[in-house]
Amino acid sequence: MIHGKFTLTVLASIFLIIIINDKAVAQNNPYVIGLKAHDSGQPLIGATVVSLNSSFREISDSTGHIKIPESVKYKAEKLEISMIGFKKLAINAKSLVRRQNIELETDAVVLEEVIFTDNGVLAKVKDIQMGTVTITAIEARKLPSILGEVDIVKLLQLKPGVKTAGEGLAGFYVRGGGADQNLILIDNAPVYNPNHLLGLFSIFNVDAVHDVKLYKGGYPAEYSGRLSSVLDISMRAGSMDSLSISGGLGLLSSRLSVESPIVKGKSSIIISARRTYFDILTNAINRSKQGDSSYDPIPAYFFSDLNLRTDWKINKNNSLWATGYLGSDNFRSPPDPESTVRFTWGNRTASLNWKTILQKKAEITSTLFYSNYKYQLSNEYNFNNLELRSGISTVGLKIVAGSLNRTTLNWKAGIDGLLHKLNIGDFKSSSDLSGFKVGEKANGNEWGVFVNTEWNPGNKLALMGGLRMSGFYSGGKMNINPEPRVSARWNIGENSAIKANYTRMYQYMHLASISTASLPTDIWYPSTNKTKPQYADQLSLGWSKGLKDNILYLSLEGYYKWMKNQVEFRDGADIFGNPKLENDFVYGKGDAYGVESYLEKKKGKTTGWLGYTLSWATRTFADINDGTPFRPRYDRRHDFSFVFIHKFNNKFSLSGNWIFGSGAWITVPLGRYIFQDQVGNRFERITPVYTKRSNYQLAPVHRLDMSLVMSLRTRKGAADLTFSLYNAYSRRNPFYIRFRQLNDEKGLAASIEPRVVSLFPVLPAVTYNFKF
Amino acid sequence: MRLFIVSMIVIAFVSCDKVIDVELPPYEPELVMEMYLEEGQPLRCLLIESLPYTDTAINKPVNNALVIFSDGTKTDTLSYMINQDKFTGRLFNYFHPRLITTDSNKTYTLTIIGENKKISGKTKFSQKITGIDSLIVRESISEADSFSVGVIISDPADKANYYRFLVGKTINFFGSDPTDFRVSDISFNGKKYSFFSEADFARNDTVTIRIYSLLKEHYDYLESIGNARRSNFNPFSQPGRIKSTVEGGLGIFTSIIYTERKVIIK
Repeated sequence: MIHGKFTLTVLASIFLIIIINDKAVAQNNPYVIGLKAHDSGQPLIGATVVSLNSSFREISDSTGHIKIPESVKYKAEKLEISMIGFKKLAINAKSLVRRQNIELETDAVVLEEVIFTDNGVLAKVKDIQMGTVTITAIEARKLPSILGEVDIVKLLQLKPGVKTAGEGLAGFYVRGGGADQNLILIDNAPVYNPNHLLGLFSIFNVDAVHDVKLYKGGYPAEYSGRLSSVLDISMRAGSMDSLSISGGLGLLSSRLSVESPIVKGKSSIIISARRTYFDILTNAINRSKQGDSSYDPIPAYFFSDLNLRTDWKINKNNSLWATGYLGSDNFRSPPDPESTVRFTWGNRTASLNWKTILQKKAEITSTLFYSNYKYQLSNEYNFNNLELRSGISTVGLKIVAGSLNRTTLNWKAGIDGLLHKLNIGDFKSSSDLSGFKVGEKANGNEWGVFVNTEWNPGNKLALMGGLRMSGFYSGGKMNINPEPRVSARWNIGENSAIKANYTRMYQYMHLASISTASLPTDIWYPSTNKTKPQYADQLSLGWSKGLKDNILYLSLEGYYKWMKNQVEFRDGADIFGNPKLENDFVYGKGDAYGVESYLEKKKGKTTGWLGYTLSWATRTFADINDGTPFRPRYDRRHDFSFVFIHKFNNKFSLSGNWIFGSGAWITVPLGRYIFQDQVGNRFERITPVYTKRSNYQLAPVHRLDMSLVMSLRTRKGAADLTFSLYNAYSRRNPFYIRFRQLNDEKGLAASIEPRVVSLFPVLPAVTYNFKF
Repeated sequence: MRLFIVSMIVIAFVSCDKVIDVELPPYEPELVMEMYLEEGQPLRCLLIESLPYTDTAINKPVNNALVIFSDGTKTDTLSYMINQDKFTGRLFNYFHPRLITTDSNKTYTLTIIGENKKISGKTKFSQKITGIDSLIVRESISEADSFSVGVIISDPADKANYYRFLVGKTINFFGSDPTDFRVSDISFNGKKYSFFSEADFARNDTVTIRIYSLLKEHYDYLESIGNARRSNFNPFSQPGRIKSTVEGGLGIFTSIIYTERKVIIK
């Protein structure tokens, strides 16, 4: 404890010294450029400025501003400004004035874009941060999707090192870590369940998202709380110049976004909504079958999302923006007086962000955020009412300060604190004859103090070091742990570099799940005296190179990750109505290692990438599988993806992706026997015997998806028609195996027939997108 | 929850399945036994061998084993003899005429040697009967002249209890289909608990309600079998092993006690 206080004091002192006395890193009077879209005047967030003469690189902030050091101007360096959807612009830094706006012209009509990331090849080669992936909403719209439902998170699965639990599912697994080991942030607010409909869709409406950035481990010290990755999602800011309405009509859902200035040039608001039609269709089918006794009505289900963001430029040094998300899934069984099942779940997040520039030296971003996830399952059955609730609420504050200019020494430091309130498996049974209620309630306080520095002493070497002291208090137990980060980069020539990184990460909140995929009933559980914090060490080594005049980007990254204090349920655990859930936990470790290779073409009419990952992932628990290692479902030895977009002209573009992956590991029964003590004829049903976990590998998965976008010009704006073909050659990719029992003419078991279940045959779709 | 998952799959997935050839990893068959000790009943044991999952045979009895039963003071060897429990309809292939008397101080053991394997187990009559407080008959909300039968018990608070409810016109499992429900008192320890059957009954039906007080090992065994069966239909489940009460093989060797009432639907 004394050690912890001492460390805190030291870190706080460093933090204050850095903010107050910034001599070591400050550059006087940087040149500030405001980047805007030529057509809409909207600030361009995430645009990149790269020097073609030095290692200088900067990305525009949430107000579209970017700072250029004086040294860059004096050296008259050639700067390249780029942003997806806009034409690149080259300028000479010599021409810069202190404050100016620069407008980028749209590359084509709305939604027309063929560049894949917002970082240039050279910038990526020289970036010391390893294992990052950025995808923009514009990119997501161009690529094929299931039934036209564009899902920006699913596109991440096409990148090396990111895997899915099953075909079509939105949940993702990074470098052998579990789904709960991904920290997902919407404008700094954590999201606890990023999925709709058993993970078929993510909760992120592409109209409301600007871009997503994924750190595959080795992430900067400002992030914490998960072992495997950080998915940082930036919501889109509304236009500050004019009213605009956009949306789309699809087969499964419709979307609508409205954005408008509040005070022109000063403030804006954008509201985006999405809703599915499942329930409307199924209710109509049920009504048409009324009176048909042989018809089993279909349950009603829908999900909806509402996103809001408002921005306010207070003055040249201060800006505010607030974001909110409200999503829900709703399921209801068909009307039946004797049994009604209702199931609702959803996330709510909100964040208020304030960015201020201090004396042109440092920039401070303060975020107050709230996040809530909860589900409620109720069943009225046979005069009994059963109700199960579970949820987690978090309120937090994060303050991050950083040097304003990217020079020889750059730094970032900050503090954060989160208050978690958990309702764990609140189970209630009631009738007019008896009743009971069980469940757990818990609180957890999580905090962190961090500092991250990047040192670029010359053209060759760059070093990055960071330390985060994280802590967690729950149930009378305090945990304090150091989380160091170290990275190095060495440039080899003009366009090649080798990189290395070591990171230790701690995770204090655990997701208790009895399934092999993410389900809404999974329960978050805090670290306690018994359930220790998870932690992981990751070591990675990489090489990257720009090829063919930096038209091609090539990278090779290897990693090894050791995960300790992993949590699983014991076989046959009771998760419903369990008054002390952790009594059913078992604890173990995980190992993951692999090599990721990536080749991306970034310029020209045809762009795209090739990705290949060779990887291994195992988990070892003393109480599972006789203590021997087993493979999680998402352990895939080979994972290959090919993605392309070809732009024929301003009207048509064609895109596609082909993926190949090793089959998933599942657990199948190997033996069986007759057990008599059961309802019905004793020889009707057999008892399957499961031996080892993950004892069978499904056949490999491969699939081709295609998409053709036809841009349309209208009087008042622009639109497009997107024709997509999912699983173009209708490959029956195995999802799982079920064993059907065949009975003889007397109804007695005669044989077992294995059947492989596939989810999606070829699925064509048309989506209409518009913007006025 | 199962309804939800199945419904989601139906709604969301344009699924299709086809028969495939599955080459499963090799499986070493095990001895499987089923034996219940019940007051006033003779010693009966079913001994079979488990089969590879896709084997064409359905059942493989083991008929040449040595089956030794002991209550700590007296040891008996069961003989190979096909016999049937007339009430439950269960078949057994080993038998001894000795009748069981309930003695909570005794530990009963069983040792079987057959097919070059050895399987053994032990059990006690350590559970206590939980009585039925009352029975309630209620007419179905949706269907006239269909009735559910409800039962109320008071769960003792002193220890963990495990129950199995059987409600039916006949509950002998011999071609009948009673309501069969298991529950542990983890959620309602020391409180009243009520349970209603399906609305399967008509006027003038005589309905039997039997409540077993199970040993934890027996309850865990039945639950693990239920989980194993359900896993076959749920792509998201994580199947677990059968929690046998015996060592060296699979199966159940346990004592059973229960209380029973009948009610005539008026």
